[in-house]
Amino acid sequence: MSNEDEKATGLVPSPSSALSRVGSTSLVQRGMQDLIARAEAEQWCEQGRIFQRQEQYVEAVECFRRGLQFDPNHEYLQFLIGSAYYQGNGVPELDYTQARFWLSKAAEQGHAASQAILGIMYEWSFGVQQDYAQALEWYRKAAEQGHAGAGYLLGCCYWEGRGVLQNHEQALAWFRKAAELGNASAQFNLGVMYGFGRGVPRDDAEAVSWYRKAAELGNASAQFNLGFMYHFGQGVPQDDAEAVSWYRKAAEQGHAGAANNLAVCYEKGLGVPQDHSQAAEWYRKAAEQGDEASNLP
Amino acid sequence: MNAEIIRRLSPEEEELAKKRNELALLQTELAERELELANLRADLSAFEGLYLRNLGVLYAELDDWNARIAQLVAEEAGTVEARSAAAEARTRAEESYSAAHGEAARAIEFIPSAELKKLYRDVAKRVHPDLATDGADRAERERLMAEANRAYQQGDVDALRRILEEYESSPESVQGTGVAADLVRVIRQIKQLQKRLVQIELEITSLGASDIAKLKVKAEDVSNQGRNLLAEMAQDLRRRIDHERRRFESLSAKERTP
Repeated sequence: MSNEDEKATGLVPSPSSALSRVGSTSLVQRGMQDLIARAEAEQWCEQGRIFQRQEQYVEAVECFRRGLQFDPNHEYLQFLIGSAYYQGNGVPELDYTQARFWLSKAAEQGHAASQAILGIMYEWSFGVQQDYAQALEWYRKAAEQGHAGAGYLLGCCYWEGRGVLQNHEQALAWFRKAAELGNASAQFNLGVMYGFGRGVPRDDAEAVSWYRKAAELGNASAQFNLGFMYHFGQGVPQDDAEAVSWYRKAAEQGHAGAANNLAVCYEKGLGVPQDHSQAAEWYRKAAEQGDEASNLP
Repeated sequence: MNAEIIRRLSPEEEELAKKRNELALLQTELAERELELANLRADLSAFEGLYLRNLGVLYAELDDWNARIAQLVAEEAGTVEARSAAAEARTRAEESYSAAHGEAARAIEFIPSAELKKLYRDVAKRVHPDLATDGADRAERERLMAEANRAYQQGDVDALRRILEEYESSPESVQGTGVAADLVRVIRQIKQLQKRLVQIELEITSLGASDIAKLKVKAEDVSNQGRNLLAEMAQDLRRRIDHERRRFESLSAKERTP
Protein backbone atom coordinates (compact mmCIF):
# COMPACT_ATOMS: atom_id res chain seq x y z
CA MET A 1 0.00 0.00 0.00
CA SER A 2 1.31 3.44 -0.87
CA ASN A 3 2.08 6.15 1.62
CA GLU A 4 -0.90 8.12 0.50
CA ASP A 5 -3.25 5.23 1.09
CA GLU A 6 -1.84 4.88 4.56
CA LYS A 7 -2.57 8.49 5.27
CA ALA A 8 -6.07 8.12 3.96
CA THR A 9 -6.84 5.38 6.43
CA GLY A 10 -4.84 6.95 9.26
CA LEU A 11 -6.53 8.74 12.06
CA VAL A 12 -4.36 11.82 11.98
CA PRO A 13 -4.62 13.60 9.70
CA SER A 14 -7.99 12.21 8.89
CA PRO A 15 -9.53 13.08 5.58
CA SER A 16 -12.75 11.14 5.32
CA SER A 17 -11.68 8.06 3.47
CA ALA A 18 -14.99 7.37 1.86
CA LEU A 19 -15.59 10.82 0.52
CA SER A 20 -12.29 12.20 -0.62
CA ARG A 21 -12.38 10.58 -4.04
CA VAL A 22 -13.52 13.19 -6.50
CA GLY A 23 -15.01 10.89 -9.12
CA SER A 24 -17.25 8.86 -6.87
CA THR A 25 -18.28 11.97 -4.95
CA SER A 26 -19.51 13.59 -8.13
CA LEU A 27 -21.53 10.49 -9.03
CA VAL A 28 -23.16 10.64 -5.59
CA GLN A 29 -23.78 14.35 -6.08
CA ARG A 30 -25.57 13.67 -9.34
CA GLY A 31 -27.79 11.12 -7.67
CA MET A 32 -28.67 13.64 -4.99
CA GLN A 33 -29.34 16.42 -7.53
CA ASP A 34 -31.53 14.10 -9.57
CA LEU A 35 -33.49 13.16 -6.47
CA ILE A 36 -34.04 16.80 -5.55
CA ALA A 37 -35.04 17.64 -9.13
CA ARG A 38 -37.54 14.81 -9.22
CA ALA A 39 -39.01 15.86 -5.88
CA GLU A 40 -39.42 19.40 -7.27
CA ALA A 41 -41.05 18.09 -10.43
CA GLU A 42 -43.35 15.93 -8.31
CA GLN A 43 -44.42 18.98 -6.31
CA TRP A 44 -45.22 21.00 -9.44
CA CYS A 45 -47.14 18.01 -10.74
CA GLU A 46 -49.18 17.81 -7.53
CA GLN A 47 -49.85 21.56 -7.57
CA GLY A 48 -50.89 21.40 -11.22
CA ARG A 49 -53.30 18.56 -10.51
CA ILE A 50 -54.88 20.65 -7.76
CA PHE A 51 -55.39 23.55 -10.21
CA GLN A 52 -56.78 21.08 -12.73
CA ARG A 53 -59.36 19.80 -10.27
CA GLN A 54 -60.38 23.42 -9.63
CA GLU A 55 -60.65 23.86 -13.41
CA GLN A 56 -57.87 26.49 -13.40
CA TYR A 57 -56.33 24.99 -16.51
CA VAL A 58 -53.94 27.81 -17.42
CA GLU A 59 -52.34 27.69 -13.96
CA ALA A 60 -52.23 23.89 -14.16
CA VAL A 61 -50.32 23.91 -17.45
CA GLU A 62 -47.91 26.49 -16.05
CA CYS A 63 -47.17 24.13 -13.13
CA PHE A 64 -46.66 21.17 -15.47
CA ARG A 65 -44.19 23.21 -17.52
CA ARG A 66 -42.25 24.22 -14.45
CA GLY A 67 -42.16 20.62 -13.29
CA LEU A 68 -40.71 19.57 -16.63
CA GLN A 69 -37.93 22.11 -16.22
CA PHE A 70 -36.79 20.12 -13.20
CA ASP A 71 -37.29 16.69 -14.70
CA PRO A 72 -37.58 16.79 -18.50
CA ASN A 73 -38.14 13.02 -18.56
CA HIS A 74 -41.15 13.05 -16.24
CA GLU A 75 -43.55 10.96 -18.31
CA TYR A 76 -46.66 11.87 -16.37
CA LEU A 77 -45.96 15.60 -16.80
CA GLN A 78 -45.37 15.04 -20.50
CA PHE A 79 -48.71 13.24 -20.64
CA LEU A 80 -50.48 16.04 -18.75
CA ILE A 81 -49.15 18.75 -21.07
CA GLY A 82 -49.88 16.61 -24.10
CA SER A 83 -53.45 16.07 -22.90
CA ALA A 84 -53.85 19.79 -22.26
CA TYR A 85 -53.04 20.45 -25.96
CA TYR A 86 -55.19 17.48 -27.05
CA GLN A 87 -58.20 18.92 -25.25
CA GLY A 88 -57.33 22.59 -25.62
CA ASN A 89 -57.44 23.11 -21.85
CA GLY A 90 -55.17 25.78 -20.40
CA VAL A 91 -53.39 26.39 -23.71
CA PRO A 92 -54.12 29.15 -26.26
CA GLU A 93 -55.86 26.64 -28.52
CA LEU A 94 -56.33 22.96 -29.15
CA ASP A 95 -53.12 21.90 -30.90
CA TYR A 96 -52.68 18.33 -32.13
CA THR A 97 -49.09 18.92 -33.24
CA GLN A 98 -48.05 19.96 -29.74
CA ALA A 99 -50.18 17.19 -28.26
CA ARG A 100 -48.45 14.60 -30.40
CA PHE A 101 -45.02 16.03 -29.56
CA TRP A 102 -45.56 15.62 -25.80
CA LEU A 103 -47.58 12.42 -25.88
CA SER A 104 -44.94 10.77 -28.09
CA LYS A 105 -42.28 11.54 -25.50
CA ALA A 106 -44.32 9.92 -22.73
CA ALA A 107 -45.49 7.07 -24.97
CA GLU A 108 -41.93 6.21 -25.96
CA GLN A 109 -41.07 5.99 -22.30
CA GLY A 110 -43.88 3.47 -21.92
CA HIS A 111 -46.70 5.65 -20.55
CA ALA A 112 -49.81 3.60 -21.36
CA ALA A 113 -52.45 6.35 -21.46
CA SER A 114 -50.24 8.42 -23.78
CA GLN A 115 -49.78 5.41 -26.04
CA ALA A 116 -53.55 4.92 -26.20
CA ILE A 117 -54.23 8.57 -27.11
CA LEU A 118 -51.46 8.52 -29.70
CA GLY A 119 -53.13 5.44 -31.21
CA ILE A 120 -56.42 7.34 -31.42
CA MET A 121 -54.68 10.28 -33.11
CA TYR A 122 -53.28 7.98 -35.79
CA GLU A 123 -56.54 6.08 -36.22
CA TRP A 124 -58.68 9.21 -36.55
CA SER A 125 -55.99 11.33 -38.19
CA PHE A 126 -55.96 14.04 -35.55
CA GLY A 127 -53.17 16.38 -36.66
CA VAL A 128 -51.38 13.56 -38.43
CA GLN A 129 -51.83 11.45 -41.54
CA GLN A 130 -54.13 8.51 -40.88
CA ASP A 131 -52.02 5.45 -40.21
CA TYR A 132 -53.81 2.32 -39.02
CA ALA A 133 -50.62 0.32 -38.59
CA GLN A 134 -49.19 2.97 -36.24
CA ALA A 135 -52.48 3.20 -34.38
CA LEU A 136 -52.53 -0.55 -33.91
CA GLU A 137 -48.96 -0.62 -32.59
CA TRP A 138 -49.66 2.07 -30.00
CA TYR A 139 -52.90 0.40 -28.92
CA ARG A 140 -51.03 -2.87 -28.59
CA LYS A 141 -48.24 -1.35 -26.46
CA ALA A 142 -50.76 0.22 -24.10
CA ALA A 143 -53.06 -2.82 -24.03
CA GLU A 144 -50.18 -5.14 -23.22
CA GLN A 145 -49.52 -2.99 -20.18
CA GLY A 146 -53.10 -3.55 -19.05
CA HIS A 147 -54.66 -0.30 -20.36
CA ALA A 148 -58.33 -1.29 -20.68
CA GLY A 149 -59.36 1.41 -23.17
CA ALA A 150 -56.50 0.51 -25.50
CA GLY A 151 -57.45 -3.18 -25.23
CA TYR A 152 -60.97 -2.28 -26.37
CA LEU A 153 -59.68 -0.18 -29.30
CA LEU A 154 -57.25 -2.94 -30.27
CA GLY A 155 -60.14 -5.41 -30.18
CA CYS A 156 -62.07 -3.10 -32.54
CA CYS A 157 -59.11 -3.03 -34.97
CA TYR A 158 -59.05 -6.83 -35.05
CA TRP A 159 -62.84 -7.02 -35.33
CA GLU A 160 -62.94 -4.71 -38.31
CA GLY A 161 -59.56 -5.63 -39.78
CA ARG A 162 -58.17 -2.09 -39.47
CA GLY A 163 -54.37 -1.98 -39.74
CA VAL A 164 -54.28 -5.73 -39.36
CA LEU A 165 -55.92 -8.81 -40.89
CA GLN A 166 -59.43 -9.28 -39.57
CA ASN A 167 -59.30 -11.79 -36.73
CA HIS A 168 -62.38 -12.38 -34.58
CA GLU A 169 -60.54 -14.62 -32.14
CA GLN A 170 -58.01 -11.89 -31.39
CA ALA A 171 -60.84 -9.37 -31.16
CA LEU A 172 -62.64 -11.58 -28.66
CA ALA A 173 -59.47 -12.07 -26.60
CA TRP A 174 -58.80 -8.31 -26.38
CA PHE A 175 -62.45 -7.43 -25.69
CA ARG A 176 -62.44 -10.02 -22.93
CA LYS A 177 -59.24 -8.67 -21.41
CA ALA A 178 -60.54 -5.09 -21.51
CA ALA A 179 -63.97 -6.20 -20.24
CA GLU A 180 -62.38 -7.93 -17.29
CA LEU A 181 -60.47 -4.74 -16.53
CA GLY A 182 -63.83 -2.96 -16.33
CA ASN A 183 -64.11 -1.32 -19.76
CA ALA A 184 -67.83 -0.88 -20.40
CA SER A 185 -67.58 -0.62 -24.21
CA ALA A 186 -65.70 -3.91 -24.36
CA GLN A 187 -68.26 -5.49 -22.03
CA PHE A 188 -71.04 -4.27 -24.31
CA ASN A 189 -69.27 -5.62 -27.41
CA LEU A 190 -68.80 -9.00 -25.75
CA GLY A 191 -72.51 -8.97 -24.93
CA VAL A 192 -73.32 -8.29 -28.57
CA MET A 193 -70.97 -11.03 -29.79
CA TYR A 194 -72.61 -13.61 -27.50
CA GLY A 195 -76.12 -12.25 -27.99
CA PHE A 196 -75.94 -12.44 -31.78
CA GLY A 197 -73.48 -15.33 -32.08
CA ARG A 198 -70.93 -13.21 -33.88
CA GLY A 199 -67.43 -14.71 -33.69
CA VAL A 200 -68.62 -17.01 -30.90
CA PRO A 201 -71.48 -19.50 -30.52
CA ARG A 202 -74.61 -17.65 -29.45
CA ASP A 203 -75.08 -17.68 -25.66
CA ASP A 204 -77.88 -15.45 -24.31
CA ALA A 205 -77.04 -15.97 -20.64
CA GLU A 206 -73.42 -14.92 -21.30
CA ALA A 207 -74.68 -11.93 -23.28
CA VAL A 208 -76.94 -10.86 -20.42
CA SER A 209 -74.11 -11.09 -17.91
CA TRP A 210 -71.84 -8.79 -20.02
CA TYR A 211 -74.69 -6.37 -20.81
CA ARG A 212 -75.44 -6.18 -17.10
CA LYS A 213 -71.83 -5.32 -16.21
CA ALA A 214 -71.69 -2.58 -18.83
CA ALA A 215 -75.22 -1.34 -17.98
CA GLU A 216 -74.29 -0.99 -14.35
CA LEU A 217 -71.31 1.14 -15.42
CA GLY A 218 -73.80 3.42 -17.19
CA ASN A 219 -73.33 2.30 -20.82
CA ALA A 220 -76.62 3.35 -22.49
CA SER A 221 -76.46 0.82 -25.34
CA ALA A 222 -75.92 -1.98 -22.83
CA GLN A 223 -78.84 -0.70 -20.72
CA PHE A 224 -81.03 -0.73 -23.81
CA ASN A 225 -79.95 -4.24 -24.87
CA LEU A 226 -80.37 -5.56 -21.32
CA GLY A 227 -83.91 -4.12 -21.26
CA PHE A 228 -84.53 -5.85 -24.57
CA MET A 229 -83.30 -9.21 -23.14
CA TYR A 230 -85.75 -8.84 -20.22
CA HIS A 231 -88.50 -7.70 -22.58
CA PHE A 232 -88.21 -10.84 -24.70
CA GLY A 233 -86.98 -13.23 -21.97
CA GLN A 234 -83.71 -13.99 -23.71
CA GLY A 235 -81.03 -15.44 -21.42
CA VAL A 236 -83.04 -14.24 -18.47
CA PRO A 237 -86.65 -14.86 -17.26
CA GLN A 238 -89.07 -12.52 -19.05
CA ASP A 239 -89.72 -9.46 -16.85
CA ASP A 240 -91.43 -6.34 -18.23
CA ALA A 241 -90.83 -4.28 -15.10
CA GLU A 242 -87.07 -4.93 -15.32
CA ALA A 243 -87.19 -4.18 -19.05
CA VAL A 244 -88.89 -0.84 -18.37
CA SER A 245 -86.39 0.09 -15.67
CA TRP A 246 -83.38 -0.48 -18.03
CA TYR A 247 -85.10 1.18 -21.02
CA ARG A 248 -85.75 4.18 -18.79
CA LYS A 249 -82.08 4.44 -17.73
CA ALA A 250 -80.94 4.32 -21.34
CA ALA A 251 -83.69 6.67 -22.55
CA GLU A 252 -82.77 9.22 -19.88
CA GLN A 253 -79.27 9.23 -21.33
CA GLY A 254 -80.74 10.11 -24.72
CA HIS A 255 -80.87 6.64 -26.30
CA ALA A 256 -83.55 6.90 -28.98
CA GLY A 257 -84.30 3.18 -29.31
CA ALA A 258 -84.80 2.94 -25.57
CA ALA A 259 -87.10 6.00 -25.58
CA ASN A 260 -89.15 4.36 -28.32
CA ASN A 261 -89.41 1.03 -26.48
CA LEU A 262 -90.27 2.81 -23.24
CA ALA A 263 -93.07 4.60 -25.10
CA VAL A 264 -94.36 1.25 -26.41
CA CYS A 265 -94.39 -0.10 -22.82
CA TYR A 266 -96.43 2.91 -21.63
CA GLU A 267 -98.78 2.63 -24.58
CA LYS A 268 -99.49 -1.05 -24.00
CA GLY A 269 -99.10 -1.05 -20.21
CA LEU A 270 -96.19 -3.49 -20.22
CA GLY A 271 -94.34 -3.45 -16.90
CA VAL A 272 -95.91 -0.05 -16.15
CA PRO A 273 -99.51 1.12 -15.78
CA GLN A 274 -100.80 2.15 -19.20
CA ASP A 275 -100.23 5.89 -19.69
CA HIS A 276 -100.89 7.48 -23.09
CA SER A 277 -99.50 10.87 -22.20
CA GLN A 278 -96.23 9.30 -21.01
CA ALA A 279 -96.21 7.20 -24.18
CA ALA A 280 -96.63 10.32 -26.31
CA GLU A 281 -93.91 12.12 -24.40
CA TRP A 282 -91.37 9.31 -24.94
CA TYR A 283 -92.33 8.87 -28.62
CA ARG A 284 -91.68 12.57 -29.04
CA LYS A 285 -88.26 12.24 -27.40
CA ALA A 286 -87.44 9.21 -29.50
CA ALA A 287 -88.32 11.14 -32.62
CA GLU A 288 -86.31 14.13 -31.45
CA GLN A 289 -83.32 11.86 -31.06
CA GLY A 290 -83.73 10.96 -34.71
CA ASP A 291 -84.95 7.46 -34.18
CA GLU A 292 -87.13 5.32 -36.39
CA ALA A 293 -89.83 3.61 -34.39
CA SER A 294 -88.78 0.08 -35.23
CA ASN A 295 -85.06 0.46 -34.69
CA LEU A 296 -84.65 -2.64 -32.52
CA PRO A 297 -81.53 -4.77 -32.64
CA MET B 1 6.62 8.43 69.48
CA ASN B 2 6.65 6.26 66.60
CA ALA B 3 4.83 8.20 64.09
CA GLU B 4 4.48 6.85 60.64
CA ILE B 5 5.99 8.97 58.08
CA ILE B 6 3.36 10.08 55.68
CA ARG B 7 4.67 11.58 52.57
CA ARG B 8 2.45 14.40 51.77
CA LEU B 9 2.01 15.31 48.15
CA SER B 10 3.39 18.60 47.08
CA PRO B 11 0.95 20.92 45.33
CA GLU B 12 2.61 20.08 42.00
CA GLU B 13 2.26 16.37 42.66
CA GLU B 14 -1.36 16.82 43.59
CA GLU B 15 -1.94 18.74 40.41
CA LEU B 16 -0.15 16.03 38.41
CA ALA B 17 -2.34 13.29 39.91
CA LYS B 18 -5.43 15.28 39.09
CA LYS B 19 -4.28 15.88 35.53
CA ARG B 20 -3.35 12.24 35.01
CA ASN B 21 -6.80 11.31 36.09
CA GLU B 22 -8.27 13.80 33.66
CA LEU B 23 -6.05 12.43 30.88
CA ALA B 24 -7.18 8.86 31.55
CA LEU B 25 -10.83 9.88 31.28
CA LEU B 26 -10.14 11.74 28.04
CA GLN B 27 -8.32 8.72 26.60
CA THR B 28 -11.36 6.56 27.26
CA GLU B 29 -13.71 9.09 25.73
CA LEU B 30 -11.47 9.63 22.74
CA ALA B 31 -11.20 5.90 22.05
CA GLU B 32 -15.00 5.74 22.06
CA ARG B 33 -15.33 8.64 19.65
CA GLU B 34 -12.63 7.30 17.32
CA LEU B 35 -14.52 4.04 17.18
CA GLU B 36 -17.72 5.88 16.37
CA LEU B 37 -16.01 7.80 13.60
CA ALA B 38 -14.43 4.64 12.18
CA ASN B 39 -17.84 2.96 12.16
CA LEU B 40 -19.52 5.93 10.52
CA ARG B 41 -16.89 6.01 7.81
CA ALA B 42 -17.17 2.29 7.23
CA ASP B 43 -20.98 2.55 7.03
CA LEU B 44 -20.85 5.38 4.54
CA SER B 45 -18.16 3.64 2.50
CA ALA B 46 -20.32 0.54 2.36
CA PHE B 47 -23.36 2.53 1.28
CA GLU B 48 -21.26 4.39 -1.27
CA GLY B 49 -20.08 1.04 -2.61
CA LEU B 50 -23.67 -0.12 -2.92
CA TYR B 51 -24.64 3.14 -4.62
CA LEU B 52 -21.79 2.98 -7.10
CA ARG B 53 -22.48 -0.64 -7.97
CA ASN B 54 -26.18 0.04 -8.52
CA LEU B 55 -26.36 3.63 -9.77
CA GLY B 56 -22.82 4.75 -10.50
CA VAL B 57 -22.58 2.20 -13.28
CA LEU B 58 -25.84 3.51 -14.75
CA TYR B 59 -24.60 7.10 -14.70
CA ALA B 60 -21.48 5.85 -16.46
CA GLU B 61 -23.68 4.15 -19.08
CA LEU B 62 -25.78 7.28 -19.51
CA ASP B 63 -22.64 9.37 -19.99
CA ASP B 64 -21.38 6.85 -22.51
CA TRP B 65 -24.51 7.24 -24.67
CA ASN B 66 -24.26 11.01 -24.35
CA ALA B 67 -20.65 10.86 -25.49
CA ARG B 68 -21.61 8.70 -28.47
CA ILE B 69 -24.37 11.12 -29.41
CA ALA B 70 -21.98 14.06 -29.07
CA GLN B 71 -19.56 12.19 -31.33
CA LEU B 72 -22.23 11.68 -34.01
CA VAL B 73 -23.27 15.31 -33.76
CA ALA B 74 -19.63 16.39 -34.09
CA GLU B 75 -19.14 14.22 -37.18
CA GLU B 76 -22.27 15.67 -38.73
CA ALA B 77 -21.58 19.30 -37.84
CA GLY B 78 -17.81 19.17 -38.23
CA THR B 79 -17.37 22.36 -36.23
CA VAL B 80 -14.65 22.99 -33.67
CA GLU B 81 -17.23 23.54 -30.94
CA ALA B 82 -19.02 20.28 -31.68
CA ARG B 83 -15.73 18.39 -31.66
CA SER B 84 -14.60 19.86 -28.38
CA ALA B 85 -18.05 19.15 -26.87
CA ALA B 86 -17.70 15.54 -28.01
CA ALA B 87 -14.23 15.28 -26.49
CA GLU B 88 -15.54 16.75 -23.25
CA ALA B 89 -18.44 14.32 -23.17
CA ARG B 90 -16.04 11.43 -23.77
CA THR B 91 -13.77 12.56 -20.92
CA ARG B 92 -16.71 12.82 -18.61
CA ALA B 93 -17.92 9.36 -19.59
CA GLU B 94 -14.48 7.94 -18.85
CA GLU B 95 -14.35 9.69 -15.49
CA SER B 96 -17.75 8.33 -14.60
CA TYR B 97 -16.71 4.87 -15.68
CA SER B 98 -13.59 4.79 -13.54
CA ALA B 99 -15.43 6.27 -10.55
CA ALA B 100 -18.22 3.72 -10.86
CA HIS B 101 -15.87 0.77 -11.25
CA GLY B 102 -13.05 1.91 -8.95
CA GLU B 103 -11.90 1.04 -5.47
CA ALA B 104 -14.82 2.78 -3.76
CA ALA B 105 -17.33 0.55 -5.55
CA ARG B 106 -15.92 -2.50 -3.81
CA ALA B 107 -16.78 -1.42 -0.26
CA ILE B 108 -19.19 -3.84 1.34
CA GLU B 109 -21.25 -3.82 4.49
CA PHE B 110 -19.23 -3.84 7.65
CA ILE B 111 -20.49 -5.33 10.93
CA PRO B 112 -17.70 -5.27 13.56
CA SER B 113 -17.69 -7.95 16.27
CA ALA B 114 -17.68 -6.95 19.95
CA GLU B 115 -14.12 -8.24 20.28
CA LEU B 116 -12.96 -6.23 17.28
CA LYS B 117 -14.50 -3.09 18.75
CA LYS B 118 -12.90 -3.70 22.15
CA LEU B 119 -9.45 -4.21 20.65
CA TYR B 120 -9.81 -1.11 18.52
CA ARG B 121 -10.79 0.92 21.58
CA ASP B 122 -7.75 -0.40 23.47
CA VAL B 123 -5.44 0.51 20.64
CA ALA B 124 -6.95 3.96 20.23
CA LYS B 125 -6.71 4.58 23.96
CA ARG B 126 -3.04 3.74 24.22
CA VAL B 127 -1.53 4.25 20.79
CA HIS B 128 -3.36 7.41 19.77
CA PRO B 129 -0.96 9.78 17.98
CA ASP B 130 -2.16 12.71 20.04
CA LEU B 131 -0.57 11.12 23.09
CA ALA B 132 2.82 11.58 21.44
CA THR B 133 5.44 13.53 23.30
CA ASP B 134 7.82 14.16 20.42
CA GLY B 135 8.06 13.92 16.67
CA ALA B 136 9.58 10.44 16.52
CA ASP B 137 7.02 9.10 18.96
CA ARG B 138 4.22 10.64 16.91
CA ALA B 139 5.48 9.10 13.69
CA GLU B 140 5.57 5.68 15.29
CA ARG B 141 2.08 6.07 16.74
CA GLU B 142 0.67 7.30 13.44
CA ARG B 143 2.10 4.24 11.72
CA LEU B 144 0.56 1.89 14.26
CA MET B 145 -2.79 3.70 14.25
CA ALA B 146 -3.03 3.60 10.47
CA GLU B 147 -2.37 -0.12 10.62
CA ALA B 148 -5.00 -0.48 13.31
CA ASN B 149 -7.53 1.36 11.16
CA ARG B 150 -6.89 -0.92 8.26
CA ALA B 151 -7.08 -4.00 10.48
CA TYR B 152 -10.36 -2.76 11.92
CA GLN B 153 -11.96 -2.18 8.51
CA GLN B 154 -10.85 -5.65 7.46
CA GLY B 155 -12.15 -7.19 10.69
CA ASP B 156 -8.66 -8.52 11.45
CA VAL B 157 -8.68 -9.24 15.20
CA ASP B 158 -5.21 -10.83 15.21
CA ALA B 159 -3.63 -7.84 13.54
CA LEU B 160 -5.15 -5.50 16.12
CA ARG B 161 -3.82 -7.71 18.91
CA ARG B 162 -0.34 -7.68 17.36
CA ILE B 163 -0.38 -3.89 17.12
CA LEU B 164 -1.29 -3.65 20.76
CA GLU B 165 1.51 -6.07 21.73
CA GLU B 166 4.02 -4.28 19.57
CA TYR B 167 3.17 -1.01 21.24
CA GLU B 168 3.35 -2.45 24.76
CA SER B 169 6.74 -3.99 24.12
CA SER B 170 8.30 -0.92 22.55
CA PRO B 171 10.59 1.06 24.84
CA GLU B 172 8.94 4.06 26.44
CA SER B 173 10.19 7.20 24.93
CA VAL B 174 12.28 9.28 27.20
CA GLN B 175 10.10 11.41 29.32
CA GLY B 176 10.92 14.50 31.21
CA THR B 177 12.12 13.86 34.74
CA GLY B 178 10.60 15.39 37.69
CA VAL B 179 7.08 16.37 38.59
CA ALA B 180 7.15 19.66 36.82
CA ALA B 181 8.25 18.11 33.53
CA ASP B 182 5.62 15.37 33.86
CA LEU B 183 2.97 17.95 34.55
CA VAL B 184 3.90 19.91 31.45
CA ARG B 185 3.78 16.71 29.37
CA VAL B 186 0.41 15.58 30.72
CA ILE B 187 -1.13 19.01 30.22
CA ARG B 188 0.12 19.04 26.65
CA GLN B 189 -1.39 15.59 26.04
CA ILE B 190 -4.70 16.72 27.48
CA LYS B 191 -4.73 19.71 25.15
CA GLN B 192 -3.92 17.52 22.15
CA LEU B 193 -6.68 15.04 22.98
CA GLN B 194 -9.19 17.84 23.48
CA LYS B 195 -8.25 19.26 20.13
CA ARG B 196 -8.70 15.87 18.52
CA LEU B 197 -12.12 15.45 20.15
CA VAL B 198 -13.23 18.72 18.59
CA GLN B 199 -11.82 17.55 15.25
CA ILE B 200 -13.77 14.31 15.47
CA GLU B 201 -16.92 16.26 16.20
CA LEU B 202 -16.34 18.42 13.15
CA GLU B 203 -15.60 15.45 11.00
CA ILE B 204 -18.70 13.56 12.10
CA THR B 205 -20.72 16.68 11.34
CA SER B 206 -19.23 17.07 7.90
CA LEU B 207 -19.65 13.37 7.13
CA GLY B 208 -23.28 13.69 8.20
CA ALA B 209 -23.74 16.65 5.86
CA SER B 210 -22.21 14.84 2.88
CA ASP B 211 -24.37 13.82 -0.07
CA ILE B 212 -23.77 10.14 0.52
CA ALA B 213 -24.95 10.46 4.15
CA LYS B 214 -28.05 12.42 3.10
CA LEU B 215 -28.79 9.82 0.48
CA LYS B 216 -28.40 7.05 3.05
CA VAL B 217 -30.81 8.77 5.47
CA LYS B 218 -33.29 9.28 2.64
CA ALA B 219 -32.99 5.65 1.59
CA GLU B 220 -33.70 4.58 5.16
CA ASP B 221 -36.73 6.90 5.42
CA VAL B 222 -38.11 5.59 2.18
CA SER B 223 -37.38 2.01 3.18
CA ASN B 224 -39.59 2.52 6.25
CA GLN B 225 -42.44 3.17 3.82
CA GLY B 226 -41.71 -0.17 2.19
CA ARG B 227 -39.97 1.38 -0.83
CA ASN B 228 -36.48 0.96 -2.23
CA LEU B 229 -34.93 4.31 -3.08
CA LEU B 230 -31.91 3.00 -4.96
CA ALA B 231 -34.13 0.74 -7.05
CA GLU B 232 -36.43 3.66 -7.89
CA MET B 233 -33.49 5.84 -8.85
CA ALA B 234 -32.07 3.02 -10.95
CA GLN B 235 -35.39 2.60 -12.74
CA ASP B 236 -35.47 6.27 -13.58
CA LEU B 237 -31.89 6.16 -14.84
CA ARG B 238 -32.59 3.12 -16.99
CA ARG B 239 -35.42 5.05 -18.57
CA ARG B 240 -33.09 7.94 -19.32
CA ILE B 241 -30.51 5.53 -20.73
CA ASP B 242 -33.17 4.01 -23.01
CA HIS B 243 -34.11 7.48 -24.14
CA GLU B 244 -30.51 8.37 -25.00
CA ARG B 245 -29.98 5.01 -26.69
CA ARG B 246 -33.01 5.60 -28.91
CA ARG B 247 -31.74 9.08 -29.68
CA PHE B 248 -28.39 7.64 -30.66
CA GLU B 249 -30.01 4.98 -32.83
CA SER B 250 -32.23 7.42 -34.67
CA LEU B 251 -29.29 9.80 -35.21
CA SER B 252 -27.07 7.07 -36.57
CA ALA B 253 -29.89 5.79 -38.80
CA LYS B 254 -30.17 9.32 -40.20
CA GLU B 255 -26.45 9.38 -40.91
CA ARG B 256 -26.60 6.13 -42.83
CA THR B 257 -29.35 7.45 -45.11
CA PRO B 258 -28.28 10.95 -46.13
